[in-house]
Amino acid sequence: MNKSWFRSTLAALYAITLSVYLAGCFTPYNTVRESFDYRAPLDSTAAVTIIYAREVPVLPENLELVATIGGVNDESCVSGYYPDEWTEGRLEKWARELGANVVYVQVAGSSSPCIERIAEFLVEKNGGKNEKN
Amino acid sequence: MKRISLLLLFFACFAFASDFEQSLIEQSSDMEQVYRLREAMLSAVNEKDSAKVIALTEMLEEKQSDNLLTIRLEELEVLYLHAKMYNALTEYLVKRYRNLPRKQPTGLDEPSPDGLSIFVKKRVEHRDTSKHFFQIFATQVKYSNISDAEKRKLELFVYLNDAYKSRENAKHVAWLARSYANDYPDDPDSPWIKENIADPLKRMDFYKYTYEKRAENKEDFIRYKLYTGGFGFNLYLFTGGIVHSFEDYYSKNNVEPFDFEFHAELYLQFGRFVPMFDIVDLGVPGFTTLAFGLGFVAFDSRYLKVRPYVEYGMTGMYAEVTQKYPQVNGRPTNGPDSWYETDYEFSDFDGMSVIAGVNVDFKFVTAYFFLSNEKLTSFSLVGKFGVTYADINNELAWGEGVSLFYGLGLGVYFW
Repeated sequence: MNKSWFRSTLAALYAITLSVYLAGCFTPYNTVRESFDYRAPLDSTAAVTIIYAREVPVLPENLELVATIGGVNDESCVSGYYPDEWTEGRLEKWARELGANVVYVQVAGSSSPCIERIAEFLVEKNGGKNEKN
Repeated sequence: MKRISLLLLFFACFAFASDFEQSLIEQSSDMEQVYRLREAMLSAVNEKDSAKVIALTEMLEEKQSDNLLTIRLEELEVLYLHAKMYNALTEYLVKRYRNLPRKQPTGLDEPSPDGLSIFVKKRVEHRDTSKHFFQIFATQVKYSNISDAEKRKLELFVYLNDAYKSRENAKHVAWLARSYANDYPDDPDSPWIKENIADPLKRMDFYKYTYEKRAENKEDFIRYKLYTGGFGFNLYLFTGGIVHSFEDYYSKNNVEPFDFEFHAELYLQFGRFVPMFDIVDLGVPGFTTLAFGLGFVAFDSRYLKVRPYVEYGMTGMYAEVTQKYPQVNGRPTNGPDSWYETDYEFSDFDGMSVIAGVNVDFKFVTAYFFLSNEKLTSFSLVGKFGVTYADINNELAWGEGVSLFYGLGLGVYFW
């Protein structure tokens, strides 16, 4: 038993804790929450409406923003995050996790190599009573 | 009987066929009406009969169905702009966008090329096609007699349909919407323009938005994270204490303990509970303690955290024998063969200690952990104060007593 034993133990403990911490930290998607009043997730059968900004360039009214997920969809892009394909299933899954029932998908342009895009996750204000559809 | 069924079948087929034909006739007559309305619309535009244009717009919209598009938005916009019906167009577009259904029907039938569509095409063909068709009318609008606010609102809503067609358009519309809402806050549409057009487009600049939002959220987020969890590491640079009854517990003539210059603490926090491990100086010269224990976050805030704790420790020494050493404080060793020779390195942590203390952290800097929006890092000035009862019992030293100790240093906390 000598001095280096303490340091190795300490270093090992430090490394284990650090890796546990880092494992949860670098998620591939960057989520910006509107506030920290976290909402309860929805169950896996809850209906989620997906609205595309290309079709509806105005965010419909009576919706409250919960969070925004952003990224660029081409790995040749130098900056940013590289989310996988945003399928409707994936968007719905994220929405339910965030407790949101509306997704507003905004993509600008289609020809540039780096397409900027965000998905906004929203909930109906007033429990959806004013929904226009 | 068979004959009757055949007869019934024949009539049923006939009835179905006539329904089908009827629907075809209705459709074709609908289409004819649409063409007539479009023709009338073109004439009204050329006659600059704005009341008639508005009435015809409504009639064409009434004819619109889930599988038929009677007039394209771009056609309407060009016609209104050509007829210099600027405010009527803005009014129409605002109403339309405020009531836009969340799902747009796709694969609609459109009228075949007619007088109206050819007119619209010709009206905008002499332009840089990379630019929006509004450019064709820009000068005309600029020198018109509508107010500056009306001009800007018109441009915004004409551009809006193409906002997501390119990054340039997105930026332009974002700018038009934001500046309009800022400059004309009294317009009842301004809050809607800001929240439902400008803000979503602003968020498209996601990195800028991320940094703005994380700065805006930071204090709220820190408040939200208090008493949650994380892990920390503290290094104590100045340590010491007041000792009671620890005297002559080893022979200073024969033994020289190594001074541990390393006093540190590693802790995890789960809610308010803090399992911890530290190498601590209890203030008794020559002795070091490896301790495990549990702390409790009694108080946490933006800058200050107070964490009382209790620990059980293994106290001992790591020492060099400087002079041949037959016995310890009068206690005989196992005989001459087991004497500790000079330069022998001795270590023993069989002693125990019970510690009660308090950690006080002054978090002088709290920042987001690198790019994360969900993790924080705090840098702190840390203090540790406590009392310990230690019972040391080995071949070179023994004794028991109470000490008061302190440690001051630097800490980092990831949470």
